[in-house]
Amino acid sequence: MRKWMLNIHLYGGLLCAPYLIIFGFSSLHFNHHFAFVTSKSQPLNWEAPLRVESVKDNDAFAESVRDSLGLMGWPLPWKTRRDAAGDLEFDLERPGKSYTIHTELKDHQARVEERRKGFWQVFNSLHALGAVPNSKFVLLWGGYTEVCTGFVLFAALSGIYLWLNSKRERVAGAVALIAAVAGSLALMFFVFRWG
Amino acid sequence: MGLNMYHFIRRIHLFTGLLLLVFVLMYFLSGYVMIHGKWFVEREPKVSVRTETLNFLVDPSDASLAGRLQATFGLRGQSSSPEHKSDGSTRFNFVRPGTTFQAVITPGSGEITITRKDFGFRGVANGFHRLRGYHGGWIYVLWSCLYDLASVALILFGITGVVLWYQSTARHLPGWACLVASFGFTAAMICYLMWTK
Repeated sequence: MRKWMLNIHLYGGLLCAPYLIIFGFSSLHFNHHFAFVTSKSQPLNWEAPLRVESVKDNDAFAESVRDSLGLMGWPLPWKTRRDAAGDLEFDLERPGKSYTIHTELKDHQARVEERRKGFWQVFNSLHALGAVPNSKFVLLWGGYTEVCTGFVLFAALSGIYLWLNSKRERVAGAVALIAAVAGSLALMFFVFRWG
Repeated sequence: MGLNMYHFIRRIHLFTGLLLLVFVLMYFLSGYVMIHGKWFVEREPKVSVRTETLNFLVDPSDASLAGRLQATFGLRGQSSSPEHKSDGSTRFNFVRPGTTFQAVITPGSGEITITRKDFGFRGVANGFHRLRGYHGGWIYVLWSCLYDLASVALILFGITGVVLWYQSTARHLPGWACLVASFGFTAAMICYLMWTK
């Protein structure tokens, strides 16, 4: 039993190590907003043929433009507007890149301003990333998130089991565990009830 | 690496795990509730609105005004930076897990409108998960400190775990396979998101 637990703890940990590091780093960034994470890149402008039928609903139209251009991401409804000629301008957001897209229905063209995000922004966006519209590959990351969440629960329980089975640091570990569990639960209850 | 260094790294791995167990588990469990929000039935938040009279002179400092509003009207929670609207009104938000208060002061009226929202289980999980920032009183500073420690602990688990695996096993091939798979997949995902159209 101990060997079985240890092997899953060890090899599961190796499989989830990058996720833990990403999760730890991105959580720190959420609390401290590191300046180096935000990158400023030169926008890239390009045009592409557009074969879509105009529809009345702005959100549905933006999605069909995105699909026609072969892009992935979420159109932002609060950054979508239509002009008198029926052309649409909207922002499209995804980890790694953001776009401003302007349709020119008369010429069957789309003008796209593409902005790249830097490495750290992409690294940070992997924090619990589940799915991105039009990307099957990112779904794998959602699956990896599930595996790693399950592993963290297992690692916590198996870690306690392995420590209890070991003869080292029994007293110091027990004091640390009891004090930390009691303190953490008390803090959570205090914040919830009287915070 | 000597035996002493191995034991030192093992102790870091063990004690960060024991000390931050509850916090790390809370973040993973509440994150899971947020990712799979549809699996958890959530009632509509209970909303109550009340209007009160401001019976004190408005202090020019936003921070002290926020504190006085909390004390006078019982608006518990972590305060965020007030929003000054174009119509001259000022909006204060106070958040704690499961409950939010929004207080709007309209200039000249001498009144304050307070909207309270009480959320269910999902809202509480969300509130715990998103609580951060070194402001809003000692309790939130302490929380933020533990949040940072839990974040650092995750990075330490990842790094010390790899070192401990390397030191404690004779056959490295299965471990290398796991590492290449996990870091390779992560690198592929980052490259994909950075470079694909």
